[in-house]
Amino acid sequence: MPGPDLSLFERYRPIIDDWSAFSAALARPLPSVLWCNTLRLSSEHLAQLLRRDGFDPQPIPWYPKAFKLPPGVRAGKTLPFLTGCFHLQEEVSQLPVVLLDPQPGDRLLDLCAAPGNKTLQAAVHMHNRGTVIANDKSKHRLGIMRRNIERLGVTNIAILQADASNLPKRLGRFDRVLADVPCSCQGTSRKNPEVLRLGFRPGARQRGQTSILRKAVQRCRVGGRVAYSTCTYAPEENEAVVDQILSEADGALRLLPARLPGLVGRPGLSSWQGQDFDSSLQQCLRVYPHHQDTGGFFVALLHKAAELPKVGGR
Amino acid sequence: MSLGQDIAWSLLSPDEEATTSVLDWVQEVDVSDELSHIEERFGIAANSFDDCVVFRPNSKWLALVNRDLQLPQRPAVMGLGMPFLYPDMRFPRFTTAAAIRFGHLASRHIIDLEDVDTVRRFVDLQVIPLDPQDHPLVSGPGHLLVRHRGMILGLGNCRRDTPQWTLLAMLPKTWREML
Repeated sequence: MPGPDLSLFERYRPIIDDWSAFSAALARPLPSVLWCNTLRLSSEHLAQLLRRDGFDPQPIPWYPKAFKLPPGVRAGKTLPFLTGCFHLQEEVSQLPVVLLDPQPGDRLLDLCAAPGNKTLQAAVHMHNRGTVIANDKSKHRLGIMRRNIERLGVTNIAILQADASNLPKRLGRFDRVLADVPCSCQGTSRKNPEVLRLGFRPGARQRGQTSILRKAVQRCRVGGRVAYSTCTYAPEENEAVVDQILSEADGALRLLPARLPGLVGRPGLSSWQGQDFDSSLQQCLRVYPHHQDTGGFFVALLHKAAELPKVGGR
Repeated sequence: MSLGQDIAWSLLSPDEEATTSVLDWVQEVDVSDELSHIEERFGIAANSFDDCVVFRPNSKWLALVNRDLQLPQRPAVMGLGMPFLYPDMRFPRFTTAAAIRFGHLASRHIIDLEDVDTVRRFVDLQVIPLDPQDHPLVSGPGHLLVRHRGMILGLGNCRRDTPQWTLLAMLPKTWREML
């Protein structure tokens, strides 16, 4: 059987470390991955329950609260799922919250929250303490999050419905901010093959993504952290956006190494198609599907070391 | 800068650190009677919920949210917490979400369904015959917390209007459809 048409991704051939392994991974179905609702039970207990139901859960090396199941497994139709013992979420999508590492009592803002997988992961990571503000423009997609809030039993989330790039100062400041921005979703082609047939205009989303990241760093407290993430390979939506915000911040922001023990990935790019980026962009993380049988992902972890400079004379 | 100038400046420049509390957004509802009933029925201490605010988001149920949330001044909060109690009935009862979340705190009126087929019939809203001898934590008819392999599945209603006791699930359609 022929593999997927990867002509859309040809432009990334120079930056992908093993093109044939990358191509082969995209032709395989994506495994299911779940994380344990530790408010309800331990990950060891969850693994026991799953084994009793005939599954073979394999712990994720870089996140022991999460387990991988073979492709095609319908874990969302089981009693442990119904009773909120776990939540299904693609492996790489769990990265930003693990890197942000929000603590119980923190105030966390998820700017583009719907359908809420990362929001819920953060709320549980914080032991259902502190404050999680989940914002999204889409009322329909926020509805999906409400159902998962009920199933998982978390009570530290408040929902807002607003344009992420236009949130007011009266939102307050946050210890952690997550900007998982709308993107061209190229990294999700194993789950959503239709992205391979969609047209792609490099940089078409860059302005909106930059506005959201700008809002994220504005709303972060000095000393706090911001995670910027996408599920695309496009440097125009990844390093170029972070580079722009670093430049505007004039030293007030510093990239932290987005690395986790047991996680395979590649550093962020220092240049792309003739554009040079700040050398610290190599602290960012690129994950390709062949690294650990996942989708593709990008994440940057920023530390806000000082107040941002005033812009435009304001 | 004079005091007047301070006030004027504060009006023009919102305090970016200021937050609001849950009670700025919702009106707390006194549920002491309902929680007394829950305590009497299931042995779940009423003070288990002291860290939370109970409020009425709609006409159907009461919701529960952590008391110590630090909410924004603006924009408006659109959603808070999880469904908690159906209060306006003869016997107030937990929502399914609350039964699953807090059921582990109960010490009585819990029933264990070990057999997977019985669980399936429970979820399918079939009437399940019960032998009281098999369920020492159940002393009489009414609401029961139903458990399987240590997981609370939700609430059921135990009836004794025949010589045999029966159990019928009180699971909403949206939950049953997940399976």
